[in-house]
Amino acid sequence: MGSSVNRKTADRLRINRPMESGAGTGSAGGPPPQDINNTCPLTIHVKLVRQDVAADTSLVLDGNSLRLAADGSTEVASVTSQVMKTLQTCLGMGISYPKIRVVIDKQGVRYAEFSQ
Amino acid sequence: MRSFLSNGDQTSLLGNLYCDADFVSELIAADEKVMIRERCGGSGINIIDCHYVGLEDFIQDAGGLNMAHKSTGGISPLISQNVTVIPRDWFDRPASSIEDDIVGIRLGDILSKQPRRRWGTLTLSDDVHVDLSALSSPVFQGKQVILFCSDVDVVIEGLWWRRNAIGLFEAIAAGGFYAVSAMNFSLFIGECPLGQLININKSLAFCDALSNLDVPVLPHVYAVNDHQRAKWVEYLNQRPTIKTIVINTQLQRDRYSMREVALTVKELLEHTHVNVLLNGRQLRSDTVNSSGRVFTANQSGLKKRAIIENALKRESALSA
Repeated sequence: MGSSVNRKTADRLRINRPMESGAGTGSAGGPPPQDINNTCPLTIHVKLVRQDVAADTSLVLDGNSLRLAADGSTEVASVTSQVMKTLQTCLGMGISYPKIRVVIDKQGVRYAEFSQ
Repeated sequence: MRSFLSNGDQTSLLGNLYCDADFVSELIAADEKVMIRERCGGSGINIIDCHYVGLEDFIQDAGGLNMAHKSTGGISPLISQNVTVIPRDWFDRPASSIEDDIVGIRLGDILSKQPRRRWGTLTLSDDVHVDLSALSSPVFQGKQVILFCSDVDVVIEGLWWRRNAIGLFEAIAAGGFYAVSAMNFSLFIGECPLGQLININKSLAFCDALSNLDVPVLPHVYAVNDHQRAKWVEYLNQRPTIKTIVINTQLQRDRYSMREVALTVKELLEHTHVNVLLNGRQLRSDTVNSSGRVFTANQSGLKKRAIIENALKRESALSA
């Protein structure tokens, strides 16, 4: 939205590939075109079971378990089937989430943040 | 023209290693890359840059990179007054509560859905569309309304991508607006100048599409270097029918960003005929403010009025 130095943290997106002229025309009564940002959000949050992990700690995904990258064994959360499905769908579209780290919201709740 | 490097800022000669924008298009000068601090990643996140695979599709989508190929041939009215942009919570007030005949409305107020935050990022619903019902509100009756198409990137890029699917231009044209400002596609300092030029051209293509439907348009001017400012000057001087341009200043919270706006406004005042409508903050410059050609469009007057009214209500409730 700006001609500035820094973007707003929340105002980030993947630019969708242009639709061909006439494609996805809503007047035909078909479903609306699917925004890639709704299918594969830039970040995905999974709430941690353990709430004693420091912010920015790196995590790894092992099956559907999230573990501390440092030891590879301490489980801090499990990923729901819905999130697993999103990760797999996006991977099939060439979009991966290579970075997983701990973030803390304003209420102090800890999440694993998957980033593209 | 003032030297691009004369602003004394820290510049990065690594720009030559990080960015190939000038190899993609001769419309981009090599020294437009000096502010680049990271390699253009080609990810398509936030901006399409020179390393993006499939770049040509985006250039074509913007109608090419040459601003001269955009016509903006329709009517573009002269705005020579400050414009009050009506906040949503004023919509039910009578039209007489606003003295001006010309008022503004925000893009977000004519959309069926607002962006919502999900996992720390804003998202726009897949079934968003233009909803003009706000224009039937009492406050707009008998007014000439300017639509300001400035919003967050998630909304601007999202609507642009869906424009054919949701009949964006036809829907806006149906609003009978006095004028519509172009979308403020972002130009962030330090990002790929090719992506910036694509965004400038998308903003002009937005004007073109509305002009073709006989909608009066106000081009939106962003520029973060002297080359871009020179391109705008040339563009506007070749189109004397454009009387007013808009610059969104709502995000320029730091001095550096506002200085870029000031440089752009100064250049436009000195070398073109247009009036400038700042959508947001005004500039703190006596030269600019005394020019008689720079005006603001924002909600600040009404917000102050609402604060005073609420304070008076509270006081009378306490004394009753």
